[in-house]
Amino acid sequence: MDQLGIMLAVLGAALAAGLAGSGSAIGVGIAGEAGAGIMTEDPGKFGLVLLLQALPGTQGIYGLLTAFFAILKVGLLGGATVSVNVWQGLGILFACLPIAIAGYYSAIAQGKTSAACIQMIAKRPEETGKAVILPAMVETYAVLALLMSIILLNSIQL
Amino acid sequence: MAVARVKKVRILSHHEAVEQVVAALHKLECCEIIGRDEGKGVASEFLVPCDRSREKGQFGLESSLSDIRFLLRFLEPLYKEEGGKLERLLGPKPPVSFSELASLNSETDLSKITSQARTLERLLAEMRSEIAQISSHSLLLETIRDFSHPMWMISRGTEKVMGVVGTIPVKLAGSLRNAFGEAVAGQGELFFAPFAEKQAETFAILLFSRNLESEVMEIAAQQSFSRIECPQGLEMAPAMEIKRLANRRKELLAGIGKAEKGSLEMAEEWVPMSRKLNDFLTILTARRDTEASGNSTEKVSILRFWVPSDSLEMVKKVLKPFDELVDIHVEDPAPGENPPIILNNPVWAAPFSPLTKLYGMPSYNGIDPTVLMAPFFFLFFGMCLGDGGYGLIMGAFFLYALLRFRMSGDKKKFFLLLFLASISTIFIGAITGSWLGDMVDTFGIFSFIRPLKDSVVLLKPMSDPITFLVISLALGVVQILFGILIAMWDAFRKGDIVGALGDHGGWFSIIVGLLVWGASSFGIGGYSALIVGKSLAALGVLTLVLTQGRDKPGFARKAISGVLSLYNVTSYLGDVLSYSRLLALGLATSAIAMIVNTLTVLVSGIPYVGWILAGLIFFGGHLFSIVVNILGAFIHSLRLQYVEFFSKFYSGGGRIFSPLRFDTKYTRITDAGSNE
Repeated sequence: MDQLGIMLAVLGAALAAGLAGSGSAIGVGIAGEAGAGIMTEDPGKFGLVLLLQALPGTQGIYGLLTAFFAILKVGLLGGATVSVNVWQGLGILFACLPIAIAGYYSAIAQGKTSAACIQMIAKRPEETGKAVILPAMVETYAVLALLMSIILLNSIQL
Repeated sequence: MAVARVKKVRILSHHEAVEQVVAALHKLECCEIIGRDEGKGVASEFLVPCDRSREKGQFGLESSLSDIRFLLRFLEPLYKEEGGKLERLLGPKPPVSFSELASLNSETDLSKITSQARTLERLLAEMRSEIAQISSHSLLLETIRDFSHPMWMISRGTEKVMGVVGTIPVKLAGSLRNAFGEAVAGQGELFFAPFAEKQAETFAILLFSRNLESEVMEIAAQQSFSRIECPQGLEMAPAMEIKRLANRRKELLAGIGKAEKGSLEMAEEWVPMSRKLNDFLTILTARRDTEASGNSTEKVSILRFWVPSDSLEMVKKVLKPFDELVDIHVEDPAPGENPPIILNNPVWAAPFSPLTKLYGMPSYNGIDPTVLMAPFFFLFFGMCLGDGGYGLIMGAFFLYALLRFRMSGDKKKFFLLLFLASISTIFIGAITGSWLGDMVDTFGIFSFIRPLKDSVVLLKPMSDPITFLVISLALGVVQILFGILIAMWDAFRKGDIVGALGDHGGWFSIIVGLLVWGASSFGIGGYSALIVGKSLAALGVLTLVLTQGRDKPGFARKAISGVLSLYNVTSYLGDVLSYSRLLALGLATSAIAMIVNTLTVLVSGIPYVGWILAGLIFFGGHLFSIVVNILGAFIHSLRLQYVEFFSKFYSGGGRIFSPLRFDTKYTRITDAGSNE
């Protein structure tokens, strides 16, 4: 049965990295499409566009981070092997859910905001500062979810 | 904390002196033009339309400027820049004095150089288009290479004979041959270009007696023959034409090479000059525009400027020599006017002023938040990045950039800001024991500094995140309360005592009261703390209920608005919780760094290539982590200022001060007032 515990933890890690990563991929994709459109007019905006396109990518990193935390905790990344029972495994799985879910949806929403802000700097390049802040507002909720996932993972006693 | 005071200055100048007056003010770089004010100050019947600028060679200036723009557009892409790209982007512009520029302008025969460049450009364009034409002709000629008659037979023909060229589907070639043979009865000739098996269409040339034209064209059309225009200028038989065109092409290419070399030489010789002249002419145009900006009577120009109070004496001093011809009148900005904003910050806070500009300038009577926000931003950035190693790398990079490229203005401030932020990052990294994550603990070779590292550690967010979370939220409470206090002070300053005590004092009292109440439930301060907390909170609630409906008519609506305003407590709660990102981002940095280290150790065990992979992962991973985390730390600590802090007291809406200045693109004018 302790194998099942570890596998539940692995599922949690997989969901965290997979869902948050998918969200980021979609978000970065949306922003990239808008960016390519702008650059047909003005290729000189590459730097700014890249910056804005990169913003929805953080959720993927947060997901990866949580996944690493989860498998580190159950000793799959080297170190001493830990015995994990089913309840502990379930706990780890649940702890991964905040960043998996919030990461997925917030990355897509952030991608749309980034795309809109890319449109904005096409017309007003001097307002880049503001254009960077608006997508960051969306990211707040991914940061909060990451925080919860880490605190939950941290509080599960093995 | 307040923005710098400005005065409205009206200068009446005799037309004779206006040019020198504007030149003198331009050098000071401290006067912002106020646009024309219709009919104020001078009775409108005395005003004359301002057309003097035209007489003064405005037209010449504009045409010179367009010449220069042409030269730069044509020659700049060919110019070999000196120095690296980064240096040109960040470094100072080459210095030059205004008089140097003026003499350069008078020495240079701009129109001659421009016409030379225009000729070169036209020649190049012509030769390039001829080459394109030759290429398309050659394509046709290659396919009908075996046609033995000269091409003029097709393009012009003779009195009796004419020819047409066109395309025809391959499968109809046979039937065309038959039909054509019948129609002309030996009085014509038919040529098909050779075609490959799978080709759908081929070229056909029909030569026939001119009086058979209509019949031949009709049967050709029946076989889907579609005529194409024979290119003009082709005379000889295709094979010979091909040879001639190839030679012509060679000549043209040589010509293009020569012209390109010529333009490269021109670029080498004239681009630096054009850049200087571009700046010079831009300055002159700005002056002309200034002279024409105000109203003008028959003898006098009326110029109006915003001038910072500090610079007023300087303005009066430079205008002293024109005392006879100039009258200066200074007044304070009238209420309702919108003077430009100059941020006036002490040296230590100046690097943070780009952040205020980014949000939007304060209003003239508002508060400049730079000084108030600077310590918080400094600390928050450090907490979000929170790694000593990253801080050192970042600090070294920005310090190097600052020393290497002598930057100026906002660019310099921004780099200084990031350098300062790296210091706070190193500090936070040291007290949390994070140096490139857990590098010191992971790799054996660092074991000698382990005791040193551990000696300064106060707190480990990785193993004790809750303490760090509490610290983050506490900092949030401090900043929010500070924001409320500023708003309260601002309201007092403006004489709005009810607003100060009601709107801001009420919330301050509630928040402090709830905190003390909460603290007492953890046994801090004992029973008296509980009483104090409860009564402060109650006092706050009472104040809000009594004051928040004060604009509403009638008792019932006052009461309802007052009670509903308490609902805002959720927004304060949200604001405080938002500071938990300080922990989250700090943890994310340490964790990503830790993962990089863990992976490095993992792959280093692989035989033979392990060391290479380990090196790649270590350096690549940490580089990626630095970039991503600096971006995150910057954006999120900025957001805490903008959204959580500024919202308590700050209203933007000001307009940045943009004086008449040497706004040059390529050079730095050495005799300008300031070198910002």
